[in-house]
Amino acid sequence: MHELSIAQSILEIVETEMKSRPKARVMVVGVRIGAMAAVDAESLRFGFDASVKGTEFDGLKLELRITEAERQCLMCDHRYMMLALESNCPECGSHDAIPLGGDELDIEYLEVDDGKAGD
Amino acid sequence: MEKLEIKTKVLSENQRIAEELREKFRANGVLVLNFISSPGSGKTELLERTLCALPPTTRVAVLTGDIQTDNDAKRIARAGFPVRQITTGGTCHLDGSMITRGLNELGIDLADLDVLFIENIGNLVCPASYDLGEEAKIVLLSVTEGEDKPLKYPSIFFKSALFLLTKVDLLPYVPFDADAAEANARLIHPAMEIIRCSATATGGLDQWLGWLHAKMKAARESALTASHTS
Repeated sequence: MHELSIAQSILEIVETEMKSRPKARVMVVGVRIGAMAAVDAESLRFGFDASVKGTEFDGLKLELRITEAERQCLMCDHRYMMLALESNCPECGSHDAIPLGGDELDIEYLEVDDGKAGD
Repeated sequence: MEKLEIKTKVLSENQRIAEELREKFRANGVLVLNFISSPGSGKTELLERTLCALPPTTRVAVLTGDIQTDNDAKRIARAGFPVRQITTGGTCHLDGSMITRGLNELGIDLADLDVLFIENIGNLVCPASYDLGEEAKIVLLSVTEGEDKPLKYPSIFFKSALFLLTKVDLLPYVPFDADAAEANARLIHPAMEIIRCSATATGGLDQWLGWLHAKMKAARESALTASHTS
């Protein structure tokens, strides 16, 4: 289970990002997981919650967005999402395709409370 | 509450180390291959036999990863090749910094190397996420496993350039559908190269060795071209 290492990598990046905002408190971190990233969402949540407990990030919420792998058909150039493992090109039915993504593992956003009134 | 858009790869630190390694490997014309499979698919056996089959002039080194023990390093060292065991002590994958450390411990100048084999931890999931600066990931699956493994563990088949179907000398004795296994791998990765091999049958590694020689030649030539144009 490498999700615990990944949870810790996420927290290291959050920590670095927050250094420039010492007065703000980070409430949410948004992470995108590609369908081919080999990362299990539930294990990551478990590892993340275990990693923040009792630290300065206690209560930090992890929002996950799981995205499908995009492919481009080699026959007709159509770009499509690989929704099932068996998916062929919806335009021409060909199976020959090159991957355009799918192994993403990115931090997309942070939601921070900077203590300003009215927020 | 303020939303800050940041686009950062979670494994950006590993990626940075891996890119640094890749640049050094390429500049020196060293072909680096990262072998990944379940425990027991035959990574160590394949490496031992491959090392013995290489021309004696080939300059080769091996980094082999395991959670515990240095048994694999001992096996490979018997063949007389420089090898370093990376014992992770529980971690389920190798990462870029372990490769940097392993290379330092090997104490070999990259300029004196043609090929570096990295035997990853026996695990089809976690090693898929970590770039080690390799030229290609190679996934092994043996005929004593299930032919649906490419569908069960798609990421590693998605990311590997070559699929080695191992132990094919056992095909007459096991209910394994090799064509189905290959078709399953191509569902995930249509352009994947696939080679059937056997480390123990006569000639069982010929096609794999041909692939390896072609890649070693390409790595050498592209380093030469780069040094002439720079």
